[in-house]
Amino acid sequence: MDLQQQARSLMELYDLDVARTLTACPSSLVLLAITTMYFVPVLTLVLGFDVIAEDISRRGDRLPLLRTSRSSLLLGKSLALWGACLTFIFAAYALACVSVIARGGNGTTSHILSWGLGLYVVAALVSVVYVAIWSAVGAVVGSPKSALLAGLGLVVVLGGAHLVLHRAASRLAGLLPGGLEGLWLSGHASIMGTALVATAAWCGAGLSAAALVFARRDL
Amino acid sequence: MRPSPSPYDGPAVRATRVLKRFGRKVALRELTLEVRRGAVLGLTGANGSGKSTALSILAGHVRATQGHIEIFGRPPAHKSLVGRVGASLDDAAFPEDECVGDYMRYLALLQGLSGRAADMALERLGALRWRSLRFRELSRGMRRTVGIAQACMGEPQLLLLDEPTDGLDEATIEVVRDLLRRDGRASAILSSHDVDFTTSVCDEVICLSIEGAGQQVVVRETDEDAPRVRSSAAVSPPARVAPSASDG
Repeated sequence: MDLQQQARSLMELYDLDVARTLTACPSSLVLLAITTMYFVPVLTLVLGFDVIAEDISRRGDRLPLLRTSRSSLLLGKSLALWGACLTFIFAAYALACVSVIARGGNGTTSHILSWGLGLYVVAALVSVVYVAIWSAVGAVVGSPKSALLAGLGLVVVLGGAHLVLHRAASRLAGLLPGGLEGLWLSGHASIMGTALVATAAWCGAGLSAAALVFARRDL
Repeated sequence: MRPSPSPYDGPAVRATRVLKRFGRKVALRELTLEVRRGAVLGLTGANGSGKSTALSILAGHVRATQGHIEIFGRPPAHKSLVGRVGASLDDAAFPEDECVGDYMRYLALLQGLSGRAADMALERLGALRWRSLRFRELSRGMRRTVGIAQACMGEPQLLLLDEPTDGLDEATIEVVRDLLRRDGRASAILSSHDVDFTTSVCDEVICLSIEGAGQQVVVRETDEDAPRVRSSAAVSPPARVAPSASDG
């Protein structure tokens, strides 16, 4: 893919700033970044829909909860899920970087690795938002099957909301979980600050809701 | 790391008119009890009378619909009670694919204890030989034994045991009996259908029924053998059992 083609494709997905930033990135990594961003909601859901709901439904939290607080247990499980997601995403990026370096071209090794690391960090920051959301879903529904169905429903709703808002009010769309990577990749410090606030807000809201429900429900 | 002892010097457990509803169904009706430090209280009664529900509420897993509960002066599940209450409840699930030893070490780690504490707890119940087995390979009695071992791990100040003798062999029942009789080192509340066991280890007994909880009846005292009814339980239904005195 030449630079012009890559820029045109990116313009369909992202704002001009993001497209401009990504044109400097090796095309294989851009492709992986786009794929990852689309699959992060489903990846985190598939890895973690049962992390909290399963133990609620089979009363598996009862023995650990005699030894630690409910909020600590919930936070520990959410962090473990995030850790699993990070491992998967890291493996994908490591593989992509190695293959780009092995094929040669697309810049120096350090250029490729720095892009790989940067995109990995963005994916990690986006994935933590979904981990917090799925933790809340698991704590609310309390059954793995329902958590999976509710999660899939929410993926569709959030994705649809992002698509609609992206056309009508793109700034607002950027604040949704599906639009966060656009803010992170903008390259402007002020927009990345907004991304940081939005990521922290989604995370805080998800984990607070999960902790609140988990603290009050029968286990 | 053991929790520091609390300056609180009241009873280990105090529950007043505790009621639990699951939807429209009343699972526990008007339970009032008090367990002094070092005492063992037995909950008896027919199936469905709320024994397991009462223990789940006291362990902090289930919230009472109404009533007042204090464990060492705090509400159940209060952070200061972490590590001070040990429980082996009938419906608490073990992770089926994990090894007994690994899971016990995980629980020990959560409590700030070493892996040695987990092994010692298993050894005390004669269950150390099962530590490399997975939970799905354990029989009902073996699960019960491991459940009691994890409850005792870290020397909790209050033990909650649901049907502790169910499925156990005579030798293990004797170990559990000794454990509960260790003269006031920990308070305990147990539910059981086993009248012999209950009267041999419990200082006091409450009989639950679907109409409500009976009075707290003293069945064993160190200086007197005769059973008598304590006046501490202010509940409406009369005592439904008068267990025979047994000092064991």
